[in-house]
Amino acid sequence: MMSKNKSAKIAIASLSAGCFLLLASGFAYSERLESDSYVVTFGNFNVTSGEKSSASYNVTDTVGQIANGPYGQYGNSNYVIGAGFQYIYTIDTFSFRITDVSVELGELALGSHATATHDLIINTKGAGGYYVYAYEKHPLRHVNGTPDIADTTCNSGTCTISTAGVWNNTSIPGFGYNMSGDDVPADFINSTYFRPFADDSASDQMQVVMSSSNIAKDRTATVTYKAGISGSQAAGDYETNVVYIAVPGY
Amino acid sequence: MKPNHKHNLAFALTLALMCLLKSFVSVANAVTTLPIDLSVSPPVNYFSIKPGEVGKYDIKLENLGENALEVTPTLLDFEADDKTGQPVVKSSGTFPYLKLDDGQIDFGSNFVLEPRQKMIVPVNIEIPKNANEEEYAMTVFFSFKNQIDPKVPNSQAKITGTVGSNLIVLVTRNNSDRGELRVKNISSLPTIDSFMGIKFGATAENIGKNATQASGSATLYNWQNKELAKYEIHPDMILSGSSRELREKEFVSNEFRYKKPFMIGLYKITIELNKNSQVGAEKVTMSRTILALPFSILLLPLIGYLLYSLYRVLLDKTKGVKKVEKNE
Repeated sequence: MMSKNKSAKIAIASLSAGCFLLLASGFAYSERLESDSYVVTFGNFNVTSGEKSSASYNVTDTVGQIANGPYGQYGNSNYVIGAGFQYIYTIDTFSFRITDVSVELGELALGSHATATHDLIINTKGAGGYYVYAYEKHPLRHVNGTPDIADTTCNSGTCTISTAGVWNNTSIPGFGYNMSGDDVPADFINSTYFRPFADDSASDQMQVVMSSSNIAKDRTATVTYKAGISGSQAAGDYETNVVYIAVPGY
Repeated sequence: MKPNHKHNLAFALTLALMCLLKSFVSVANAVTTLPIDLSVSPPVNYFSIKPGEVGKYDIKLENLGENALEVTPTLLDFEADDKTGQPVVKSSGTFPYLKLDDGQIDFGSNFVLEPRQKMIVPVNIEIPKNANEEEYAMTVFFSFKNQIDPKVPNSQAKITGTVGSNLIVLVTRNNSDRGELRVKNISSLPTIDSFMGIKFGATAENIGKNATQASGSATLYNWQNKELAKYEIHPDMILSGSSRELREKEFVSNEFRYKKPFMIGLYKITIELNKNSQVGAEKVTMSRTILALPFSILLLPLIGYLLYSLYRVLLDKTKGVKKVEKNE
């Protein structure tokens, strides 16, 4: 009985020592371990690092790290060395979700505005934040190729691709969008404020519609599209393509 | 009608109703679109390579949605916005030494990602021997849309998503960090009210050859040169030839704040930055002085005097009107 216990103790001790040696030697090799289903990364080689947060903030740090920074030795082999917790963000993910990709405006009728909405959702752990740009390939265009519904200039005729204005007068035709929710431009004061999209066919500069310079978790903004027609507008269905570009900060 | 026939008729009617309902559901399904969701990793990659060498890294894509996506890669340059770390995307890509999957995936051509499928896109960077030492900032974009485009009978806006993975390539013959940071400016009010507290911001500029990480501190001193507060600088990357607002590390904010119930006299803000990330790198500093005075206390007697004067004027006018009325 005693000898069995002794053997078990020796086995446990050997296993523990083996694990310790394996873990200790793992740092020396600095291997990137991965397969199709997992990636193992080492965030820190030194005293402490990590993400600290409270209800009001998120911070990250690396303490005691030497050779900190993303650019490292390159040398002759095909690898790049980086160290420090912040460097680990370069192997983080950045995701962009659009809840509807075919925004139906229905049958456009004189004297009323048609609206439709969808959400844009961003996730990134990068401390550089993110930016979402938007543009339309051309104004709302008749499916036969012509004519267009002009982009809105709002009630006062002064809203632009970068400055929203009130647009609630249903006798004023056009096509535009409103943004609400997280990280949207401040000029969308409320749901009556609209902008026209930057028009790629007119070489307009695409505009930032969501942005944050911090970590983003499920940051969600709602885009409301609005269209209205004038009395002289040809009957039929109108279409356009709107492109949203999500770029991580660096 | 016999009971059996009644049952048959009811059964046939129910069946017809169900078929009708099913057809409505089918039509509804035909025009309903599922969300599209694409994840990319890494969001940012800093890649250092010598002329004449070949480098490789992977971009991982994952279709997080429930429908197949048509994905189209594009390579575009970006430049710094000189403020926040926002990549200002240009309309063209000029970096000629990058290929996806050894040229198996062309920029501008598309491939399909099935629902929940993960895909590794190998990126090959081959720098010619005679290439100049330079830093290139670019974004590898992946445009994505539903593989099957549902037909919608009315007016509509079709939506395409694009997600980017930033790549900053440094072509260099040596491995030392040749970034060179300097403090460009400190922004704050020159004078503040004693009850306001101090708010300031600072911008750093990288006049060196490669991107480097901001590191250092911002310190606030009183007129006796006593340290009142010290803020660590957040380790943001500043690209070569660009500027960026510095952020304090604790709250990751570009606004440095110091608040006491009452402040008076001269206060000095000093920003100290390491020139680059090399061990023992030279430090660069900039200082700015702020004067705190109790303006609100000084203003109170003035406002009181003005109010009293206004009261006197109104009183005199009222007395004048009463005198005229009496004389009449």
